[in-house]
Amino acid sequence: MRGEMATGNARTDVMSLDEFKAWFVAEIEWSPSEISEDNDLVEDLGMDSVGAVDLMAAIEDAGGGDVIMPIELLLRITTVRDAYLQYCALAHLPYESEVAR
Amino acid sequence: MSGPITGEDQPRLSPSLQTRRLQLRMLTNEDHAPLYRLSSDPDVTFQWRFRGTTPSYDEFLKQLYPGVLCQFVVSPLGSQEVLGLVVAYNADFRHRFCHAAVVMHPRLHRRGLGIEAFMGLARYVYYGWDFRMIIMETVGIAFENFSRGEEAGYFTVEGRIRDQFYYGGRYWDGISVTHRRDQFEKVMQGPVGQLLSPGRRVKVPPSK
Repeated sequence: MRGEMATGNARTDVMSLDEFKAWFVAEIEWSPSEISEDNDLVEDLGMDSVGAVDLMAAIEDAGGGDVIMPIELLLRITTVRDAYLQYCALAHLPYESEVAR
Repeated sequence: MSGPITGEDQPRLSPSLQTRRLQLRMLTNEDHAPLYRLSSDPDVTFQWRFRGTTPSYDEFLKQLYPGVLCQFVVSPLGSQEVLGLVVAYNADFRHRFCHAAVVMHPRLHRRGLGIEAFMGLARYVYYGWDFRMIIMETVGIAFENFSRGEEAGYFTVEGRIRDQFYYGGRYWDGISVTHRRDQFEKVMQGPVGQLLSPGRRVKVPPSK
């Protein structure tokens, strides 16, 4: 079930964790068919730098496409659950006033 | 018959030095010490220029510029923090290629930011010079971090010297890869293109 975001900065519906895991398996090419929120992306799922690019781009797309996953959030991602939390953060944090460039 | 790609024909080519999260900026004197520290980081040094040796600071500075076509410090957008360095070097104008290297802070490894920095450099190089390809020499232990890029069409492995380098109790292959201009154009259509696209930034509260 999709939940509406709580802030006035809603950019898209936000997936639940279970929806996110299903989305992850469907959208991320290198994902195995079954994942757990506790899986370490590198150690358990084999994510490399190319996989990280895929994941970043997919999360940005899921967040509405034009929003940038900041480095600060990117560095907080180790597990599938972390990826979900930062996806949620990306969807809720307010925009800076100007487009990046 | 194909000719040089013009900016008009190929809007993805640009002299911009900004990527989605990063800026590539000119080296300043203030960057030398952080880069010296980075070059001697145990997780970097064996795969980077000095291969585990510990040159003096003066020697490091002497080797920073020779052979370089262009090089940029990698920083986050809006910050001067030194995250890494991208270098295009040993340009061959007759045969139209150059070499490139990327070094990033270890805490950023396997995050895709090295690819983002490299693609920013490649865009700049292909915009400014009619090179056919960019060549990178890497070591198996580093190649593991981005080896899937060959399957994804980012580059082509052209050569491999088996057991060339010794690190961590074993020998690793030396690997030569090329990133060709047409590969650049092609990967720009996928997730890599997003790395060079502008977007909207969010305000991230400081960590507690």
